Amino acid sequence: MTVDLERAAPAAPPAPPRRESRIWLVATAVTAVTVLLIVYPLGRTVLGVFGIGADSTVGRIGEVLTSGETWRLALNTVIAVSVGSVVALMIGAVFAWINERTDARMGFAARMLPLMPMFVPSIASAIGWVFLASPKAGVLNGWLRDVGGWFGLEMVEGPLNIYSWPGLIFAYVLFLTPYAYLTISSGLQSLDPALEEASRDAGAGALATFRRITLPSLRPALGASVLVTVTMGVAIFSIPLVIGTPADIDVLPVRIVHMMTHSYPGDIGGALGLSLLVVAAVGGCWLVQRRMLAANAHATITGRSSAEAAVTLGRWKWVARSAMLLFLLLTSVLPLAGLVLVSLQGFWSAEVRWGHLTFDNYRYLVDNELVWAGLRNSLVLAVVCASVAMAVGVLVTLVLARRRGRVASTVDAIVKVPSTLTHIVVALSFIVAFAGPPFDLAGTYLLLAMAYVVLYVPQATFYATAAYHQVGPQLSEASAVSGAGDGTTVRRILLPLMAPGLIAGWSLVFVLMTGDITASSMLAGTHTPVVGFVILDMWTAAGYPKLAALGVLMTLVSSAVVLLVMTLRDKLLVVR
Amino acid sequence: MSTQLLDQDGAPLTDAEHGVRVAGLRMVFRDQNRNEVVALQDVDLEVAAGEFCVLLGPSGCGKTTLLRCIAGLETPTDGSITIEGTPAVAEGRVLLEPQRRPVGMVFQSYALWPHLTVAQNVAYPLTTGPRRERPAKSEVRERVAAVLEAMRIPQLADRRIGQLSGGQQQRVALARAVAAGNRVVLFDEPLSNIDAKVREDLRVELKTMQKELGFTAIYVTHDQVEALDLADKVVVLDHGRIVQTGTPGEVYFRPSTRHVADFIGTSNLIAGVTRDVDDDRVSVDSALGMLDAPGDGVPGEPAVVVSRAHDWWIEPTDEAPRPGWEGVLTSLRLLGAYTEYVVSVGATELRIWDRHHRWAEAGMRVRVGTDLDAAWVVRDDG
Ligand SMILES: Nc1ncnc2c1ncn2[C@@H]1O[C@H](COP(=O)(O)OP(=O)(O)OP(=O)(O)O)[C@@H](O)[C@H]1O
Ligand SMILES: [Mg+2]
Repeated sequence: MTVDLERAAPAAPPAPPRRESRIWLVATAVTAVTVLLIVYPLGRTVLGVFGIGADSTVGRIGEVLTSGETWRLALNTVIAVSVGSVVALMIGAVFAWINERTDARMGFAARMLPLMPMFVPSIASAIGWVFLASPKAGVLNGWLRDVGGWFGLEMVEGPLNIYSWPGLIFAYVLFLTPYAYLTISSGLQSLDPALEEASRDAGAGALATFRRITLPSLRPALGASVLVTVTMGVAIFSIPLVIGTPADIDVLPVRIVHMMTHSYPGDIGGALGLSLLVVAAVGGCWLVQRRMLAANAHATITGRSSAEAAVTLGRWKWVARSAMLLFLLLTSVLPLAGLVLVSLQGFWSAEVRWGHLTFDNYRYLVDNELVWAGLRNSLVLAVVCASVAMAVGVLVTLVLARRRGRVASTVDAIVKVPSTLTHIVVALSFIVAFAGPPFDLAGTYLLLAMAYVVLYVPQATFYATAAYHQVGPQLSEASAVSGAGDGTTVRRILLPLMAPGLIAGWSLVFVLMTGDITASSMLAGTHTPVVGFVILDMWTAAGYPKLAALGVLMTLVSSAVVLLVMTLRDKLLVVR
Repeated sequence: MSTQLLDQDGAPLTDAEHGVRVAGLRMVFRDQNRNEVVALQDVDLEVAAGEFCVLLGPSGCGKTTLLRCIAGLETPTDGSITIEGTPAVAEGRVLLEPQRRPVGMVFQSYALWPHLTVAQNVAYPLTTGPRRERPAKSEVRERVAAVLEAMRIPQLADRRIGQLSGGQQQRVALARAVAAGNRVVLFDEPLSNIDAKVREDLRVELKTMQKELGFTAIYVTHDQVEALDLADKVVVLDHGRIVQTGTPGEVYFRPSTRHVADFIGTSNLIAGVTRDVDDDRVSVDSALGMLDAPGDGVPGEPAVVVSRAHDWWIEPTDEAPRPGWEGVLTSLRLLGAYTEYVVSVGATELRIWDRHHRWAEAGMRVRVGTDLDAAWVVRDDG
């Protein structure tokens, strides 16, 4: 047998000088632009806060920070966020433990819980709960009163009241729990169950083990989830706007947006003053988390959780499972049902008139130019910006994977800034930096698009990095040894293998962008409408059923995209 | 059957033009605490064209690092590497990136691409060069078919990587490494994930294919049987240094140091002091008395007599005595083809591989002995 392989033997050429592959030029340039887009607006804002430069805001900030009103807002925010976070942490921890460590584990719940915010945008969920549980016209209240009537209890309003402190905190808990669940369950996944088994073998009960062994060793994960829930909590704008404002409970983010949008020009100084408090809250949490991490630096054990390690819950198994299903019901099915019911009626009332259901409200959405334009713009912007953000995420990941050292870790930290510093602050800094001269981008799609990309670059980078690390270095090395340049390796090996992770990341970013309220409320306008802007506009102006119809539409789009992408990804994975 | 190495113009390459030459290679890593980890030092290595060179050594001795330096996946701190006559690294400066070295590599994990079929994996190296130099599609197809044929796996062409057994993946990885006509192929423990029986078959095949295709092989393993079986040349590494280079026979029967002897094969290392050196025969004063065996030694220096476990015999004390030692059989293990007896002679513990004896029982007194002409004396470096 003769094998004809010799011919290809390349005669050794005199080695020409090395040159960087083009992909590194592109990646470095894109990373630099991204860093600039994050640092420049924030830098300019900070300078303004300190009274340097054209946009000095010192006077107004001082005024705001010394007013009693501000401290009332701050107190409201602290109460809502801290109570909401603590309850969300407890529920999230218990659910994570059930799914990771006990025989009550439900694959369905484990998969769905962290995804809830992606299926139902927070604004839609908040409005849905208003329809269900507002004291007079709440649909759920109507039914409860009917049931009460059979037992001789006559009520004109209630028994539920979403427009109250408990109602507001309830909504915060629903919103924050999935995030708490996600961080704690991944903490549990990387914790060796052998520790807990040892405790149980030593005679401690399941609950005692959870309290004495599991919880303490979970401190880093708990610290991380405190940081996440507080960051999300102090920045969330839709829930307190929809539920808090009618209840006369004002919080910081609502007032910040209000200051920017309810006067022309916006009260930037006032908004910045309040933002300082938000940043202070996040910074404080960050310090707490650092301390929790440091105290525990050597106690973390990584291992694989095994199926045999499951704690048997006995009769409690069904309680646990029901609790998780109830939670899923409360976060998705019920608010969506509220929205659907109201959207199919001529006007909103506690009595559902089943004979008079109508699609008029949906027809209105299609016919109304602003709504239609908002929907279209949101979809287009989200498709474009999610793709750009993912591309940036991939390139940043490549740069960070190749270069180590101080520059790389600085870039890494800067890229995370938009999510750590909260969206409301970053969006504000975009107005400070780009709305006026010399850029004059106020009221343009470009400003909106830039903000969307920058705000969601942290998530995009997170997903891209996770996808990159799943591929493993040897597959790229094998490509290099096979004669491929870095660009070819990225195009033909890395990207196809990262695809499932990138698709998942894209869909998350897409959904977050279409559901974005914070940046949209401040950066969009009647000439550049997006869904987030339109829904807020309708909240104050149009009738409730029309608002409900828009909420349903938003939820359908998000859910459809997430489901589609999830099946697509599973298909891709099966092909392997 | 034979293939000859030709250069582009069809003229045979001279020896100096191919093979791999490594000189003064040094590789220093830094761990998380910025401490220096010296993975390789003073490594000089010459592998001739068509030679099968095995790098052998205990875990962590720097085998993988050396291989990765040759492939270009690691940049050495200092030293030079010449591949097929082209300098790839000079004084720690990279002159050729991995993609421009005429080198193929078979990774321990195979590193086959799961999103491509077997044929696409093998075709990949043929389609990565500059566009002008790429072979035509039909030519690529022919070459892939020829290589898969050579690896005896033409039927797998359209399979996905996930649907292959470990042995099949190993063949695909080799096919990919040689597809572009690389003159040098590097192997990093390619058989360690495969079960023992298949491993033996693959070893035979690998050696056949290497001779058939005529490439230069540098093969990393920590399995001495594999090394002795495959190699034309064995290079023993320890703590980042080369401690011995030689044919399998030299390394096995004439180890250069106690470390090498200890690492390759199962031996009794009997320590003592060299008394006398006479014409390649060394007398060592040891716990077992004066031992007279071939080897190297300097009078007055510590030395070790290396005597292979299978060169020893064991018998009951009541038989007609042969010259040897009396001791106590402390334990015995049946290991299949032979039995391992552990015998204490005074304070010296001996491991003896002999056939299974019915009479043997732990605790009994036995006579043991060996042919010292088969032993080898080395200096005591540990
Ligand atoms: N990237 C790295 N950073 C720091 N130290 C490293 C790195 N790579 C290897 N080392 C160290 O260099 C030494 C040699 O490693 P190498 O992987 O070459 O060993 P090896 O002989 O291949 O071992 P094994 O048989 O276990 O694969 C080891 O001490 C290892 O810890
Ligand atoms: Mg190795």
